[in-house]
Amino acid sequence: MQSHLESELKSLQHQLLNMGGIAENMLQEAILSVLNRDESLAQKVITLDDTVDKLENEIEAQCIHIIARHQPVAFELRFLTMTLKVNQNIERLADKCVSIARRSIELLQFPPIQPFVDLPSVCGIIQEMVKDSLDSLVHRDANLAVQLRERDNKVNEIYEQTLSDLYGILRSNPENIQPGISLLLLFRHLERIGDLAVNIGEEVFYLVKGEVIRHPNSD
Amino acid sequence: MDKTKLLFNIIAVPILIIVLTVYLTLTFTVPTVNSEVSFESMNINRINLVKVRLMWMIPVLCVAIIVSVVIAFVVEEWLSTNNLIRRIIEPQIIILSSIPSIVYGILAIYYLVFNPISSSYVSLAFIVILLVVPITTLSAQNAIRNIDISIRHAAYAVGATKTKVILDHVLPLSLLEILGGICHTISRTLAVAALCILVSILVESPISGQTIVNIVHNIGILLLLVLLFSIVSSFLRKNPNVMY
Amino acid sequence: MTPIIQVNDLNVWFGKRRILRNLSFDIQPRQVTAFIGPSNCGKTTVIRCLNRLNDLQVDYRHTGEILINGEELYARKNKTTEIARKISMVFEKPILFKKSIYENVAYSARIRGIKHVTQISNIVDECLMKAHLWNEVKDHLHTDPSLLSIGQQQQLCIARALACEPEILIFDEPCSQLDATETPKIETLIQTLKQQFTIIFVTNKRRQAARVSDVAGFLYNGELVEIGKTEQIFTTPTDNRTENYVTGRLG
Repeated sequence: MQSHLESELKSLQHQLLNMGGIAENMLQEAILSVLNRDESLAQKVITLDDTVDKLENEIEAQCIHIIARHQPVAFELRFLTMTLKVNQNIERLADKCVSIARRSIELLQFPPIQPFVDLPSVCGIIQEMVKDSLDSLVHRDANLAVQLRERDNKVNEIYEQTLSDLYGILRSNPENIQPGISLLLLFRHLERIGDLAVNIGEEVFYLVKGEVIRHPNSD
Repeated sequence: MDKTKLLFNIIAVPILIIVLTVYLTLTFTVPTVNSEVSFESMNINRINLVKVRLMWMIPVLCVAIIVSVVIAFVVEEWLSTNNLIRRIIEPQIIILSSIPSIVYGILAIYYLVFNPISSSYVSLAFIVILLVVPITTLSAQNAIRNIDISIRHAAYAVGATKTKVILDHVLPLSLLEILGGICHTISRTLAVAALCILVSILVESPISGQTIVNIVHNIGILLLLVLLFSIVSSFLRKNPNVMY
Repeated sequence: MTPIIQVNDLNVWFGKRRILRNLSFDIQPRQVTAFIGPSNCGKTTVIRCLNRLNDLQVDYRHTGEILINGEELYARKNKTTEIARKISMVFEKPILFKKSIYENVAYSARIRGIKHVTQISNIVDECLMKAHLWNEVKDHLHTDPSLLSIGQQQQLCIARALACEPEILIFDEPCSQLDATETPKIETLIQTLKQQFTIIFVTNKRRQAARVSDVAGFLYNGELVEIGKTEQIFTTPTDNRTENYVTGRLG
C-alpha cells in the first residue's frame, strides 16, 4: 500500500522532470537556432517560455500544499525544498534560453562575424551539464552532481578566453560592435546556464547527502 | 427536573404504602375469624397441604419472572428517562425490592401454616409477586443498563431497527446477567418456601429426633436448591464476555 | 457537480443548550470532507445529525434543513434505518459486536435483507478485502475479533460499515485510539475508499485532517467558521480563528 504522500511526491517529481525536459529542449533549440541561423526555432523557444512559467507556478503551489498538509520531515522535506529551488532554477534556465533565442534573432540581422570554433563546443558542454544535472536528480546521483562544478570551471575558463578574443575582434573591427555585443551577451547567457546547472546539482547533492555545498569557500 | 422526580417519590411512595397496608390488614383480619375451627374439623395433614399450596405457586413464580423481565425491557427501551410512567414506576420498584424477604416469609407463614384453608390462592400469589417482581425487574434493568450504549449505536449505524437491536444485541448481551438475577430471586423464593415448611413441621410435632429427620427429609432438597441457585446466580452475575 | 449533502441553516439544541449555530455547507460526492475544531465544538453533533443518530438523545431538537441527494433527511417518510444503511458510520472506539469476525460483517449484510449464505459470504470477503483486512483474518474468520489489534478492529468496523453498501461513510475520530503505526494504515484506507464513497471525517488532530481530507471545515463553539479546500484552509485561511487553530495557537 502506497501512502498518499508518496504518490503525491512521485507526481511532483514527474512534473518537475517534465518541466526540466521542456527546458532542456528549449536550450537545444535555442542553440540550434544560433548555430543554424534559424529564426523559426528561436520563435518557438520564445513561445515555449509560457508553458514553463505556468509549470513553475503549478509546482510551487503543489509544494506549498504538500508542506501544509503533510508537514514532511527528513528526506521528504529535503525533497520538497530541493524541488522548490530546482523549480526556480529551471525556470531561470528557460528564461536564459529565451534570451539566447532573442540574441539569435538579433544576430540574424548581421552577417556572421567570424566562424566561432568555440561556440559549438561550449554549447555541447552546457547541454551535457544541463542533461547531467537532471539525470542526477532522476538517479539521486550525488557524484554526478558534484562533478558539474568542475565542468562549470572549464566553461568559465572558455568564457574568459572568448571574452578576450572578442575584445580583440571588436577593437580591430569597430563596425561589428552591435553583433559583437549580442554575441558577448549570448556567451554570458550560456555561462549563466552552466551556473544554473551547477545550482541544480548542488540541490540534488543536498537532497541525497543532506549537506550544503553551495559556498565551499565560505568556510 | 430533579424537583419533579423528588415530588413523585414523596407522593407516590406513601400512596403505595397506604394501599399495601390497607390490603394486607384486610386480608389479615378477615380470615382470622374462624380459622382454627375449620382447620381442626377437617382431618388433613397440615404439612402436605402447605406443600400443595406451595406447588401451586410455581406457575405464578414463572409468570411473575417473565412479566418482570418484560417490564424491565419496556421501561429501559421504550420509555425515555423523562417519561411520566417511568418516573412513577422506577422509584416504586427500587423501594419494594429493598424490603427484606423475611417480611414476605412471615406473611406466607401466617397464611399457609396458620390459616391454610381460609387463605386464598390470590393472597399467596400476591405475596409471590411482591417478592419476585421488584427484585427481578431491578436486576434485569441493571443488566440492560450495563450494556455499553456504543453497541446500540453501532447496531443502529448499520441500519438495524429497534426491535432488531434489542433481539440481536441487548437481549443476548444482558441474558446471562438477567438469568443471574432470576436465579437470585428463585433462591429467595425457595428459602421462603423452606421456611414455611419448616414452621409447619414444627407446629405439627414437638422437637424430637424424628422431627429433625422429618425436617431434613422435607426441606433438605429445597435448601440445596437454594444454595445451587445462589451459586449459579453469583457465577452468572459476573457475566463473562463470551461471544453470542 | 451536484452536492450529495446540502445543509442549510442548521441549528441544534440539546435541552436548553444550543450546540450548533446556523450551519450551512455542501458536501461533494467522492471526496473526503473533514471537520476540525477543538473538543466540544460540535463536530460529532454535526455528523450525528447526518445519520440521525442524535434522534436517540431524549432532548435533541433541530431547525434548518439537511438534504441528502436533494431529499429532506428528516422528512416523516424517511425511516432512520434506511438512512443509516445509506450513511454508515465508524466510531471513535472500534465497537464490535461480541460475535465472530465473519458474523460482525455478515450482520450488516443480513440487516440489508440478504439471506442467501453464499451471497453473504461473498459480501463478507469483498468487504474485508476493501478494508485491507482480508490477508490478516482469512484463516480465522470465525474467531473472536477482540484478539485483533485495535487498528485491525477498526478496520473490521470499516468492513462492517461497507457491508451496508452505503453511499456516505462517516468517520468519527477513527484514529484517536490507535497508535502511530496503525494510524497511517487507516488514513491510507480512507484515501482509497474515497474513490467509491463520499467520506465525512471528524478529527481533533489538525495534521490528520490536513493529510487526509480534500475539503476541511473548521468548527468553533458550534459555528462553522470556515469551510474550503484543505490546501486553502491550511495555507491561506480567511478567518483569524482558523488561522489560530491550524497554527496550533487555539485549542
